[in-house]
Amino acid sequence: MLSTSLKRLWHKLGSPRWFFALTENWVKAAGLSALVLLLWGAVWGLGFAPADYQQGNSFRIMYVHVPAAMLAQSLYIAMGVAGFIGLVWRMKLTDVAISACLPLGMVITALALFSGSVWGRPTWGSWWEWDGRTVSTLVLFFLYVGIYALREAIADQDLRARASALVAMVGTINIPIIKYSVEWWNTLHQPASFGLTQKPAMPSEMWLPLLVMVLGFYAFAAFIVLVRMRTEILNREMGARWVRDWIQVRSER
Amino acid sequence: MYFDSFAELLQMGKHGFYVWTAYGATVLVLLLSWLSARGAFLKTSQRLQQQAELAQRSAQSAQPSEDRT
Repeated sequence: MLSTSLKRLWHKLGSPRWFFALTENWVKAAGLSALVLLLWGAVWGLGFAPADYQQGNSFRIMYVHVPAAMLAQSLYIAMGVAGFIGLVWRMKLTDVAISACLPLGMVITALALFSGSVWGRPTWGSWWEWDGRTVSTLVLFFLYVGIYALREAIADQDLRARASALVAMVGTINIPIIKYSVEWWNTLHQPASFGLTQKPAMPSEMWLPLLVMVLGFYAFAAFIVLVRMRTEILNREMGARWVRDWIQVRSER
Repeated sequence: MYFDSFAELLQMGKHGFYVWTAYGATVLVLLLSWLSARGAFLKTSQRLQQQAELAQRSAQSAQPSEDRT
């Protein structure tokens, strides 16, 4: 009994139509939270947090660099998980999710690299260092670009879905490498200043703005991924009855 | 505020250029991501709208008009 109803829920979760209806009201909520959190965090981090006693004001780059780097990895993990589910259970929605995470993940990884470079110049004395974490993040960027190119090159929708799911899944090997690179190799990157179990290694007026910025970046990602997923669903289901009904309701509003 | 004046905020000690470049890039990336996602959504919904109107019009013209009989 339970297993059949669970199975039914699992299949419902994979239905584009169900997902589209479910997320109707989430988009605005995610977008508004992102706007408020990002503005709040940026003003706090730029104007109110105290300067670092060693790095001076350049440490304020942390408030965009760290959330960007976290999001770059999270979006890739999301693609890997979606790829796994898509390959095992043949759900349509997972490929929609991959296609929606991909463009944002790519530019956010580029932003993490760029902001790191701009922070590295005054702090390490160089725009670019062949440092373990930097290089593995560069590999992450190439993985995103690779999947993007793959999707552009394959016309057959089913084959494209399976190929990108596979690469997304296999590429998640790189994520623990990014994470543990600061411990495995001699590195310039500082180890994590945060942990779930330990106290942050900086005063609260420095890490609270970071927390707000991280939440803001994740809300922004939720917003963009939702909008892109919904667009992709409409494109794929263009002829369906429920799409026609939806557009009618929308135009009457 | 941590800084004594707006000029000091802009200057950020001697790190103004680096800090503002990083934040400028962030604003650019987030803004462009939003505009492109929004643009794709609007394009699709406009296409759907046009299709719906076209279907409606062809359904109307397919109906036999009374004064012609």
